[in-house]
Amino acid sequence: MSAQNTEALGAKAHEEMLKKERRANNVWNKLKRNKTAMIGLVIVLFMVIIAIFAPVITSVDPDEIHPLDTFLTPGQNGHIFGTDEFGRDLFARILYGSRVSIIVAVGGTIVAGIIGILLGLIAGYMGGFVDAVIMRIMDGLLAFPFVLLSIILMTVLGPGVVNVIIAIGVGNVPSFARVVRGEVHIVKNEEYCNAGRVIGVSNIRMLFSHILPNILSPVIVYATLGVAGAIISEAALSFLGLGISTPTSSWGSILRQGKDCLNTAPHVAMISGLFILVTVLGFNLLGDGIRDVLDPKMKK
Amino acid sequence: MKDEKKVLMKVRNLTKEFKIKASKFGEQPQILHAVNDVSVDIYEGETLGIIGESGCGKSTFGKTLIQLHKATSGSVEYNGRDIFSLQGKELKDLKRDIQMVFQDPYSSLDPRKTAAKIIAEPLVVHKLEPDKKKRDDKVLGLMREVGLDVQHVNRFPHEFSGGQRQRINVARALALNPKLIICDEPVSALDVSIQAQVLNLFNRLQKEYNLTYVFISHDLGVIKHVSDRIAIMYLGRIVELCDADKLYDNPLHPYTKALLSAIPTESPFVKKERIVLKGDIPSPIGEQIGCPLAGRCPQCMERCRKETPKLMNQGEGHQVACFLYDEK
Repeated sequence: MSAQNTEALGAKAHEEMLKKERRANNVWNKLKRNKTAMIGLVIVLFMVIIAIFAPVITSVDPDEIHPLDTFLTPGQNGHIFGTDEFGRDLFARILYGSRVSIIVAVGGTIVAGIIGILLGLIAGYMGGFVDAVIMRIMDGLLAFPFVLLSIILMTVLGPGVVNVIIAIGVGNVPSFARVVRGEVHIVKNEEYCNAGRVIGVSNIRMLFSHILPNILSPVIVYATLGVAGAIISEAALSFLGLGISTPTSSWGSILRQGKDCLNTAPHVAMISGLFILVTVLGFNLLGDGIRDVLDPKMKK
Repeated sequence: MKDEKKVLMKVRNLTKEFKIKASKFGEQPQILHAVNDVSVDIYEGETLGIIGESGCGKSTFGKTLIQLHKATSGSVEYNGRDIFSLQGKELKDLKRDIQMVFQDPYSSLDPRKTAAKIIAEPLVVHKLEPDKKKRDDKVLGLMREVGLDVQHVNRFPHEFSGGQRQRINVARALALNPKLIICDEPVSALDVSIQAQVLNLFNRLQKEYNLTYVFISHDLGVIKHVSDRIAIMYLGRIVELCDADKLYDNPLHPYTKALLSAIPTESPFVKKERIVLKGDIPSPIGEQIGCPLAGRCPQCMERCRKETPKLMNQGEGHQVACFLYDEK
């Protein structure tokens, strides 16, 4: 009886050890130990929080025009970041602009991710003719410069947040599809996929239950880094006047306004540019950190 | 006595060729003959050992039997039905009868699934046990059957040792109550001490479930231990097929003789004649003329270079593909 007890105790201790090990190797806990990733995460969270709580942080209406208070420098008359050419409070515009910028960037990446993953899965798994057709279309999309592609899409769709999301999404589909297709090519020839075929696993089950979970980590890394790119894309589109139309503010559109008054009021372009820079840096650091954690082999 | 046994699988002239893409533009693609005109009967309840050196096509043979590779020509009949012509539901039902245990226990388990999920998957796919509770019980039963600790049911593959992983592989194959299991070098990736345990597991399961094995290996000792009959493969062909005990006493084919002479003796004082074949195994790429061993065989004749010998019966189920034993 006591022998049995010790055995059970030993098994319990072993299980505890295993749990501890699992906890230590948990992605989140590994990420916590990665300093640069944590800096990135803090930046990203900060931006997300100011976007969510913009109305709480400032009570000023970002679209309110004060013709007498144009181009105030930061700190003047209680305007933390000063005002722009219409006398609108820049602090409020940056806060509300972060909402648009982040939603567009994340939304665009999600759209690109969903379409790109599906196409990449199908192309990589089916191979042959289907693969050739899908990937040639992707190559065709990739052949367009991103801005040109966006100009076409925005002209067809018209301005607006949803349409910018679609434009950024479509523009990023090919690169997602390529990443996924490459990974699928590696994973689908793994022995455990053969094992699944021997058992009689259907193609759909094979794709979504075996292949997708095993290619997810590089895709997550790519998506995180993709958000950084999408913020820049949104800024570029708005800068060109194709993205978010006035009066809705986004970092890109504020930057565009700032361009016209670089000499007289440099703070408008500088502050919005700084926010874009820091957020992109944050997403990049986070993405690099996740990559270090998820596939250590990719580390240089 | 042989004739009383039921033939479970009948392989006839099975050939598998791989096209090698031309490296230069306009070049003709070359053909690699992985499995060449193999014919063999697999009897119910036996273990057919297949042995050969690396690259001789033994794994390809196994994977073609289970349709992981599409055969170039030839036929495989299972219980009298041509398996290459089956489709849809019939094919799915066939897959329940024929299972495979893979060589590498590390790569043949999905790293993102727990042991329970891996073992339960065949049951889910074939909708054998729709009730979750019963399915879990069955999984636990299978784990006990293959000698795994049931407490490890929620572990991931990387948390198991090589031998345990191979046991998971076996449990997964057993889940469907198969009749035939193709074992593709199931122990070659394991430590010698673990090899013995896993081999004993295979033997026990065979008796319990009346399983038929096609056991592929390059290890002469392992094959001797498990097999009822042994097929020697060389360059995609079966060169000799014989009952296990007779083969080791009386090898006929020059290649088999050379192969068996490579087994070290148990005593260091026993002198043993070692037959060493000269040269390397020829490339399986391109057309072959004559006996595959012709270039290396010490007893090579003129005829060997021109014709390819077929498996010929030498009595008591001992078949050999060599002109030395052709009475013509």
